[in-house]
Amino acid sequence: MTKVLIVDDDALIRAGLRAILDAEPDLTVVGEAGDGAEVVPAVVELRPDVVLMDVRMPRVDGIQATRLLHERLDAPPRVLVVTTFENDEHVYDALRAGAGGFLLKRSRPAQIVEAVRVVAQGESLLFPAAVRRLAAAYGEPKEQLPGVRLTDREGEVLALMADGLSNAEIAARLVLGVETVKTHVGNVLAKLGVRDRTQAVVVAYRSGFISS
Amino acid sequence: MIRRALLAPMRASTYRRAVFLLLGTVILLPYLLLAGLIGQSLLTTTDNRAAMLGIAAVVAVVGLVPPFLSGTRELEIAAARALLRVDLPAPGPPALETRLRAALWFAVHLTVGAVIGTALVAAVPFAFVGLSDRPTAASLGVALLILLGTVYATAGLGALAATMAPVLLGPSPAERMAAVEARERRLAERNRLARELHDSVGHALTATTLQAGAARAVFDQDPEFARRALAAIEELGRSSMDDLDRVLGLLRAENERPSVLPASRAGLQRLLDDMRAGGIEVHADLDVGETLPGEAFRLVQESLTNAAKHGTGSVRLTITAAEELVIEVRNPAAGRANRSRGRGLTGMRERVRLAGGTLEAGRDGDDWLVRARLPRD
Repeated sequence: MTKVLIVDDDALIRAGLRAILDAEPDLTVVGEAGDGAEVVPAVVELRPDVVLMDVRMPRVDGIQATRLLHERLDAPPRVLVVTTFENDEHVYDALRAGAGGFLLKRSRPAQIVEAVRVVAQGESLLFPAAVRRLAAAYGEPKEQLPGVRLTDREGEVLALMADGLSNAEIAARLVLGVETVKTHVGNVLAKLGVRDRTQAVVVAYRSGFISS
Repeated sequence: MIRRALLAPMRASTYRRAVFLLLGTVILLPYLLLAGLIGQSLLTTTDNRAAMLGIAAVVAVVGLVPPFLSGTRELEIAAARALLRVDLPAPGPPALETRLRAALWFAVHLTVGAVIGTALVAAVPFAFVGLSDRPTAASLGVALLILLGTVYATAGLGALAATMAPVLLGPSPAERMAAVEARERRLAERNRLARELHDSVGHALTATTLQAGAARAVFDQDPEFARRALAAIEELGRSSMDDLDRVLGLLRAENERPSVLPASRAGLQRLLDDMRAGGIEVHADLDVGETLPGEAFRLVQESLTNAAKHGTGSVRLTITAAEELVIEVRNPAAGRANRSRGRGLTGMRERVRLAGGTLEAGRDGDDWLVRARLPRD
């Protein structure tokens, strides 16, 4: 069972998301918050696996709240940013602050449910094309990461991660075992100093490991 | 190549330009008439020369007025646009330098008019007379020269006029700058409205879409939720239509009379958000309705920016709307009273005055306080 916390200043959005997620047998909404300032206490109390986070909120916005989660907690939940508008540089800022993916509020219920599942598992990248577009549009490339050297194989794996492939798909593409791929992915994340694939792709764009 | 160059003057534009030059001739005629009359009187009158000279001086002064009138400039601009096909902006009230340039143009126009007029009225008929009366090779040559000379002179002077018109009739750099600024202000207003529409209607549509999707997903399991969702969708649709009406109404009104458009409460909120995002701590206590007059919005914008630039610490914004609209911006004053702050206030004070209000600014204890009072309509 995946536990979800919904953070949005608009009660109608919260109610809609709750109804959609609660209708799924494997998902349960454990709480709601109306502002980013309430997120850390709510997470400490309710221990959700995924936080659905609005970007623009009146007092503490979603970017700041995501940053706080990653600073204050040892094992922060995964953050799925929900946004009204697509090409929003705030979304990119939220990804840089540690969000694991983003989702448009206008998405179909099935897409919303699927997005929560993907982010909860962390197995593959959510909406790879959109993440790449954001990273290419807002990231300042060639921000060197001193001391980071990927092997050729790790570079290949990173490029395929950026294309949104899961471990199994990468294994099939590179003719490797899934366990080997998992090791490579783990090494890439560790070398780039990030927690998940979305972060890896964002960092990879900024540091020039991948160019558009 | 040579043939084309020779035939170059035989174009429609030459005839249009010739008409423009002849306009100069026509305007010149009363001047010539007056000059002739006065000249003759001066020559023939012997006993009352002083009075005659006085009259001549008065006539000269009166005659010198038209070149400097803005109406004359407007007329010249209209003629230059129509006949010279010069792209000139619509004339506004001219500054002194612009008037002087227009007067110079007027003088040049009349002078060239004199040349062309003389050529057409005197030289060309003279050439034909020379031809009809026992034409010789010499008179034929002279006649041809006069005709060709007139054509080429007209074409050349017309082209020169078309080149010079923008220089002498166009707006001065300052006027051009003012026009650009006015255009930028209009664009900024439009952008603000567009953003507002995008945000308010975009947000409402998003909530509507999500509620509808949720209602569909749980329709059988939770009909009560579906019912509530439908009510919410209905309400959102209604309020968005109001937003849409308001903004589109403003855009339509703007076409009729350019003015500062009112801002919505959401627009004000976004201004505060932007300020906060820029690292300025703003406490706001807002007693405003759904909209705020555009002038008041700009005032808030400027005084917050000023406060952030010159003051220290957090800014407190208070807006109260009773009989008057009172806008107060208060923040801890920086160590020394600075003069640049006073300069920024001059423009604000002027605009508040134009809107029928008053503006006070100064130290209030440890704070710097700006208080504007605007009448409510």
